[in-house]
Order: sequence, then structure tokens, then C-alpha cells
Amino acid sequence: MCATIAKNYLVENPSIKDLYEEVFKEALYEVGRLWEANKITVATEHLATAITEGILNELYGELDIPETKHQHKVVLACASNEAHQVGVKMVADVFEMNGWESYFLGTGIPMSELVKFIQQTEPAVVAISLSIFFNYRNLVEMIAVLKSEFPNLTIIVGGQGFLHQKEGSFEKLENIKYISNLYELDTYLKSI
Amino acid sequence: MKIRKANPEWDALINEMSMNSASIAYGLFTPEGNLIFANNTMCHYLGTNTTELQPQNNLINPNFEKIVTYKSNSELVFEGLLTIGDYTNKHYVLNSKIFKRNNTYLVFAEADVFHLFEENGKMSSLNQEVNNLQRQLIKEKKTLQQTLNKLKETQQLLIHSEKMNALGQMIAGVAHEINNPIAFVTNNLYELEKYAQNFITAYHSLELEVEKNASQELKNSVQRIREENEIDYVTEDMTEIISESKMGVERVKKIVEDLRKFSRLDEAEIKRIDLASTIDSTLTIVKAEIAKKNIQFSFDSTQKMMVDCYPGQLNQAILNVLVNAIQAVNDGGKIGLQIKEEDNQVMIIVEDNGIGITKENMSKIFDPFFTTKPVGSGTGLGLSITDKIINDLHKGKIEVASEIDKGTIFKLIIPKEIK
Repeated sequence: MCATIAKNYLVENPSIKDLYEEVFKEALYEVGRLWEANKITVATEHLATAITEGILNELYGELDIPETKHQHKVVLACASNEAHQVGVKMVADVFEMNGWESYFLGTGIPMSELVKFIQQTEPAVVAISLSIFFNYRNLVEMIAVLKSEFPNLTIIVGGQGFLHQKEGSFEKLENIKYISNLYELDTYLKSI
Repeated sequence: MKIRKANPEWDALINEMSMNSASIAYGLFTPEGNLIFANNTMCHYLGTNTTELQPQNNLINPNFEKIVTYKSNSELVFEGLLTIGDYTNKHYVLNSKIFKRNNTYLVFAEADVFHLFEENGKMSSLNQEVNNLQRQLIKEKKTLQQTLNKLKETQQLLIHSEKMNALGQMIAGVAHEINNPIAFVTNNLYELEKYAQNFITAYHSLELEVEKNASQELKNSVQRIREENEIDYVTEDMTEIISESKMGVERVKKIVEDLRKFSRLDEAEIKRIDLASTIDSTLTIVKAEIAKKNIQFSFDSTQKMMVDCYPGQLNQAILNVLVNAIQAVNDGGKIGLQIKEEDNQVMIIVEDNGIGITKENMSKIFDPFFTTKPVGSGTGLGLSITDKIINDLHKGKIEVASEIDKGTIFKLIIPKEIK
């Protein structure tokens, strides 16, 4: 049923970005809020996530990807210890819609493996997602390693974790591009 | 216990919370296993509720028959895993302690939440992994589909070029065979024209001679022969027939020339040329036509773009497209010619606002001898030749977009360097 709703939405408004931002993101943020308030169990949260990922996979098959010969590459991962990957998956889709080749690594990739992978694929951009502010320190450490290994690498960060700006200052992340939503990402990708 | 003593005002609340806790289950039982009192979760495990206290399920292991036999020095008679359920369907395995005081038993059981959290985490990450694999599969399926499409395209090209090759060989043979007779017919026609002129001049002199010096009798018989053979008409028409025949033969020569170009594409050498200035030289051929139809023509010939190509052939290819454009537009129409460089490729774009190509014809425009022009004004070979020059010779491709009454765009795309 959820897949039908998503498909009907696309019939009325064929913007995938709108669907991701206004439906998926809002719905999952709401699920997060309900879980925090103990209104739903962790099992329900996982069910919601699994349904969303299922629809994302379905849509991914039909994504309109432009054919370009010299594709830029992007490696996408989550901050270490992060367990949420739906957001960064939508980010991967926006990269692909802009003709990028995406390498989606998801959650739980060890730092040494990430470094090795970047050495092999030589991406133009590495995108890291932070969903839980709690993992902010891990993100800072990851970026420090990446910066020392690949001084010229462009790193972009984003995710729900950055909405809770209660603690710490994000300006600490020097030479890092923070992107707050998919529209901003799309504009950014079209500008480079 | 200290808290309870120090803070008796909390007793009620703590009791209430433990009554409703989802992870802790407790109940008081008689030695026969009848339920005296239980919290919500114990009731849930036993399939009853706190007011009825009528268990549908049992303590399976240990069961009450076993529990009553346990001996102990303290109130604690059992400590370990307790299985509750209905034997067949659902059952729960819980960490438990069973106490005996006077003649009642307290069964206290709890779920191992740490273990559950761990399992839950494992399950989530497995689920994510499955999801990511699925995404990977979709991606690979797409790549396969693309490869398949490319293969199909290549196959089409191969079939096409095979067809063109066979046709080319046949045409080369025919062209060669026609070329020889055409050569002597042409020569003979020129000679015939000369002889005819001589003949007519001589005849007129003879006539004059007869007029001046011949007897009336001879004059009459000359007049009779002249009328019988329609000499006046014949001399007049002969010149015309010869001139028409010459035009016809010229036309056959042109067709044979086109056929030869199509089938053989004269082996020339690859040269590095300045594209804009080469195109400029081609334009001189069509300048007159462009001026005659009052066409607004645009081309920036100052662009510097070096490209490896067969210059003569490339010019021919561009010229063919241009000639079509000129014929497609109305008087005062627009034709734009542009050159662009992209991804190591060179694009020559000819855009007109002419009559356009119908969908039906679009698939045939590169077929040899296909033409929409009036009989006699086109050989139907122009775009076939262009196709061969761009696709086969330069390993490039042609893209066409057209809309009826709006115009047509031809893109001739060739690699900057031929391998």
C-alpha cells in the first residue's frame, strides 16, 4: 500500500526529490519522534524503515539516470556506529540522477576498509551521513582520518544529526561542505 | 528495601509500575499450581488477566508437580530457565527464580533484555545488508540492460553495414559497367552534334545553290523531297534532341558518379584540418542557392577546431545535409550551421526551419534511393552517402530530430581523432 501511495504521488508530482523530502523524510522523522516518545516500539520503527527501503529499492530500478561517458564517482557511508542508512540512500539516488556513479557502503564499514575503498575507486566526493547527534564525535574522527589520507578529497556531510545543534559547533569541520537537504544537494551538483 | 523503608510514600507507585512492567513477570501460586495473584506480564504469559486469573497456559518446565518436590535450605527453591506456554504453539523461555513461603509459591521471571537488544541489532543489520544487496542487484541489472541495449545497437549497425557492403559491391559493379558505355555515348553525342551542325549547314548551302541555278523541274522535285521528309522540322528538332540527350547523359553520369562515391568512397588519406575553414570552402558551392532562396544563413567560421578526418568525404557529407536543408526551407527560411567540441568528439550541427521529416519517413532517410524530392531532382543517395561517410569511414554517428513544419536538426558526430 505504501508503494502505491508513493507511486501515485509520483504520478501527480514526478519529482523524486519532493517525494524523498516531503514524504519519506517527514514520515521517518515522525517515526523517530514517536519512538523517542515511546509511542511505538523499536520493532515498528524497524518495520517503517524496512518498508521505506523496500520502496526506495523499487523506485531505484526506475530512476531516470542520464547517460554520461565520464562519470564522477561518489562514495557514500554513514558515520561510524551509525545505524540509519535510509537518508544517505536517498542522497545516493540524487547523485545518480545527476549522472554520478555512486558507491553506497551503508552502515558499519570499518574505517580501514573505507580508506582502502576510497584508494581503489578514487571518488571525487565522499558523502557521510550523521543521523544521531550522539555519533558526532565519530564523524569528526572519521573526517580527520580522511583528510590526512586524502588531503584533496571533497567531503560533504548531512543528516538528521545536524538538526540537533544543541551541542558543539559544526564550523569546526573545516573545508567540509554541509548540505542540509536534497534540493541543496541537487543545486550543488548542478553547479560543479 | 532501604528505599522502601525510607520512602514508604513511593510504595504504591513502585507496585503499580512493576505490575505493568513488560519485562518482569511475577505471580503467586498454590502448591497445586492455581494462580492467586499475578502482574500483567505473567497473566500475558499464562493467557489470562489479573481479574480472572484462569491460566490457559502452563509452566512447562519445570511444572508445578516438579516444583513442589524441590527441597532447599532457604526460601529460594529454584533458579534457572523457566519455560511457559501451551506446549504446541507459543512458549517463552525466561530467567526465573521460584520462592516458597508458608504454603505459597512466588514465581519471578524476566526476559533477558540485553540478549534481545543484541539480537535485535543483529537482525537490523542483516536487514540492511539484504536491502543493500537488493540495491546492488538492481544496479547490476541496469548495467546488464544497458550492455544488452548496446549489443543490440551494435548488432543493428553490423547488419546495416553488411547490407550496405553487399549493396555497395553490386553498385560498384553496375556503376563500372555503365561508366564505359556512357563514356562512348557521351563522346558520340558530341561528335553527332558536330556532324549534325555540318549536315544542316551543308543542306542549307545546297538549297541555296538549287534556288539560284537549278531548273524548275529540279527545283520542284527538291521541294517535293523536302516536304515528304519534313526536312524543316527535322533540322530544327534534331538540334533539340541532341541537346536533350546530352543533358540526359550528363544526368546518368552524375548518378553513376554518386553511386561510385557511395560504393567506394575513394580511398583518401586522413588529414588534420581546421574544420571551420574547410566547411567555409564547402559553403561556396551552395552560396548561390542560399542567395537565390533568400535564406538567412548563419555560420561562425572563425572558430578554431582541429580534427582528424577524410576532408573530401567529410565535406561531401556536410554538403549533402546542407543541400537537403536548403531544399526543405521556404524562401526566406533559416539555416544555422554550428560546430561544437564535446568529450573528444566534434559535432557538426545543421538546423533548419523547413518542412520537417514525417515519422514514417524518418526510418528510411538513410536508405539508398529513398527520396521525397520530385522525380529527377534527387538520386536518393545523399544521406546514404553521408551515413556511410560518418558511420563507417569516421566511426561517428548521426543524430536526427525533426518536427513537421517546424524544422529538422542533423548532428554529425565524429571522434576528434580516428583510431
